[in-house]
Amino acid sequence: MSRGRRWTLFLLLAVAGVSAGYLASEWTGKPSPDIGAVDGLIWPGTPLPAFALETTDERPLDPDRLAGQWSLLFFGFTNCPDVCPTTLSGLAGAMDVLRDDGDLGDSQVYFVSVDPARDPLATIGKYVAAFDDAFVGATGSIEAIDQLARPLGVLHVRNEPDENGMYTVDHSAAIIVVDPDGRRVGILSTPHTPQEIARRFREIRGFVEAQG
Amino acid sequence: MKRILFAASLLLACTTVAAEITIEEPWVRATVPGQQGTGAFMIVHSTTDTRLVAAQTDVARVTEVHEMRMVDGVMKMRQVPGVAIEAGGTLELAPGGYHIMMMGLERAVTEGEMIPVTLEFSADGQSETLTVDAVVRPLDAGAHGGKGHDDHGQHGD
Repeated sequence: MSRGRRWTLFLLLAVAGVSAGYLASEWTGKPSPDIGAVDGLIWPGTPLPAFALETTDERPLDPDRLAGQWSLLFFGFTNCPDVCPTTLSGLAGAMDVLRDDGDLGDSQVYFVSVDPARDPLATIGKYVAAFDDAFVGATGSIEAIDQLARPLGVLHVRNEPDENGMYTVDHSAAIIVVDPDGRRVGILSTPHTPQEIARRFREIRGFVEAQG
Repeated sequence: MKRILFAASLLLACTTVAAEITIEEPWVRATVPGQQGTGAFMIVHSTTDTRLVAAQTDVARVTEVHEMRMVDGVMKMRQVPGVAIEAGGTLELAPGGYHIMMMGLERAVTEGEMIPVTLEFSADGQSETLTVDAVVRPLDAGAHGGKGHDDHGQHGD
C-alpha cells in the first residue's frame, strides 16, 4: 500500500468513527449519563422475577403491586433493637421530608420480616405503624422471602439458638429502591438518616425518570 | 433527662459498690404487643477496671449482653461474654454498638414506664450487681433516645 492510500484509508476510518459517535449521541438524545455520580444507583436496573408475600393490609406484595409506584424495601425482624428501628425511623423521616416538599409522589415503604416464626403479620402491622401509618409490612415462608430477597441482593440468616434457646437474625441493612417498572435501581446503604435517604432516593428517581 | 440522671444517681447512691460504677440515661426501647424482644441502652462509667458480664430484667425471660456489628453491609448481633471497662473509662451501650438484649418478653413494654434492669459486673474474681430503673422510650427513638426524625429528647421522666 502506498503512503497516499494509507492516508486515505486512515481519513476514511476517522471520518466514519466521528460520524458514528455523532449519530449515536443524536439517537440517544442526551449525553452519556454519569452513573457514578448518583449514590447507590444500579443502572441498568435489575428486573425482578415472580414473588408473592403476605402483607399487613391483605393485598399481597407481588410484582403487580410494585408496578407503577416507587418502592423502598427494607428487610429485618421486630426483635431487632438497633438497626431495624433506626432504619425505619430514618425511612419515616425521609417520607416526611419528601411529603413536606410536595415531592413524595407515589412512593411506598415496605418492611419485610425475615423472621416469620416470631413475627406474625398482626405483630408486624403494629410494629410498622409505630413508625409510619403508611408503611406496609410483609412476610412469608423462608422460600417465599428468598424469591424476593435473592434478586434484590438481600441476605438473611437465622442463627442457631444460643444456650438460652434464643436466636438472632443476620440481615442486609440496605434499603432497596425498586422503580415503577419493577426493576431494582438502587441500594441505599447506611447511614440511614432521613436527609440521606431522601437525598439519595430523589437522585436515583430523578436519574431513572430522565432516562424516559 | 436531668431528672432521670438525678434519679439514677440517687439510686446509685444507695447501691454504690467498691468499683464506683455509675449509670447515665438508662432506657429501653418500647415494643408493640406480640413483639418478643427489645434492647436496653445506657452509658456506664467505672472508676476501676471491671467487666459488664450479664444483665437481667423481670420482663424478659432471657437478658444478654449483645454486640451489633456491620459486616459487608450485613447486620449481625451476637451475645458477648462480657465487655471490659477501663478504670475511669466509659462504656456506651447505644444503637450501633453494644446493647442489653431482652428476649422472650413476658409482655409489651410501653413508653414512659420504668423497667428495672440489673447489671452484673465482674472484677478480680468478684462480682457485683447494680440495678437501675430504665425509662421506656418510643419504638422509633433515635440512637440517643431522641425521637427518630424530630428529636423530642425528653420522655417519660
